[in-house]
Amino acid sequence: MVRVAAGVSRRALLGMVVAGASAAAVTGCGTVDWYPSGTTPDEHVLRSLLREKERLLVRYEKALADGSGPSDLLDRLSEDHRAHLDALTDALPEGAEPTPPAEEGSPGPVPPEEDPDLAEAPSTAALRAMEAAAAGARPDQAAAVTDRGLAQLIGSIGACEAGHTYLLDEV
Amino acid sequence: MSEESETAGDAVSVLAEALRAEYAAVYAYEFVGGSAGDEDRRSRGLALAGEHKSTRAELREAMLDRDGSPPAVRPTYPLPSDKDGRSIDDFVVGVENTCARAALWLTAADDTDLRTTGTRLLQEATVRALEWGGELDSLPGFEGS
Repeated sequence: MVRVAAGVSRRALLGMVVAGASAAAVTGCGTVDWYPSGTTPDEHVLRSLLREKERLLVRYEKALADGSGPSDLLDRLSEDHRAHLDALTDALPEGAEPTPPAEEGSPGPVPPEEDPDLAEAPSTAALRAMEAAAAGARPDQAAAVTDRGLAQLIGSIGACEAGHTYLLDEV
Repeated sequence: MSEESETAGDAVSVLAEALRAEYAAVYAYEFVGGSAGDEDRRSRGLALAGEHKSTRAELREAMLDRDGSPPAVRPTYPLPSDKDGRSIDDFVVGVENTCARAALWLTAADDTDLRTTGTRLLQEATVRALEWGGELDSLPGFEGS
């Protein structure tokens, strides 16, 4: 069992997550058959979160380029999402590519910059709704992973998104 | 986190930590509700004392469900030395940040029900801190890197 110290810094936590995800990738290999090609449940959740963050960042970039929203706030919230993207990427198993190769016979996910659904700049209200939906999904995702450090990271990201929802509501 | 609650996955230990934070929060908000210098802060303080009492009851029940013993309530908890608006706001933000850190430990529990509860409480504490003028961190609940 992992023993932890009195407080936990982000750096220490991310080290735990990386170690945990790597261990899960090794021990889970060949034992989990409902995720594609040896992907562990933790990695599956991580990749789902990474895709979600990439798409959210594209939406923020569109909103910022459109210029109709509160640019200072949107810029600040984008920075948080970039920090989340970095933390989630760091949590991938050692040697894993941020974007995995597409499964045979599967078209794979559409890159966010080529997705027609992301072509239009969202309103501030739409961004608020996306943040609320993201925060609402985090409790189940935190419960779904085996690595406790990863669960903490997901929980903390959800709290930041709840904060974004509040700040966008105040505009 | 205290010595007896060093093991992150131990449900009783992380619940005890969260309960201690809620005891302090109820005490703090009752103080704000009775002593803040303006009616708005007193009113918000009393309302939030009620919310934290509900959370305290929920965590206490979760503790008893797992055959744990809720930690003892201390006779007093830290209070601000000044009662002006800024001092009260800073004090309350600190109280909520303590609740957020305790909730973060719940999100690491092996017990997935507690993880879900911890994730929710972490979100609530983060938003309440913002309502009192706190700053949003990209990873709430963690200490600064």
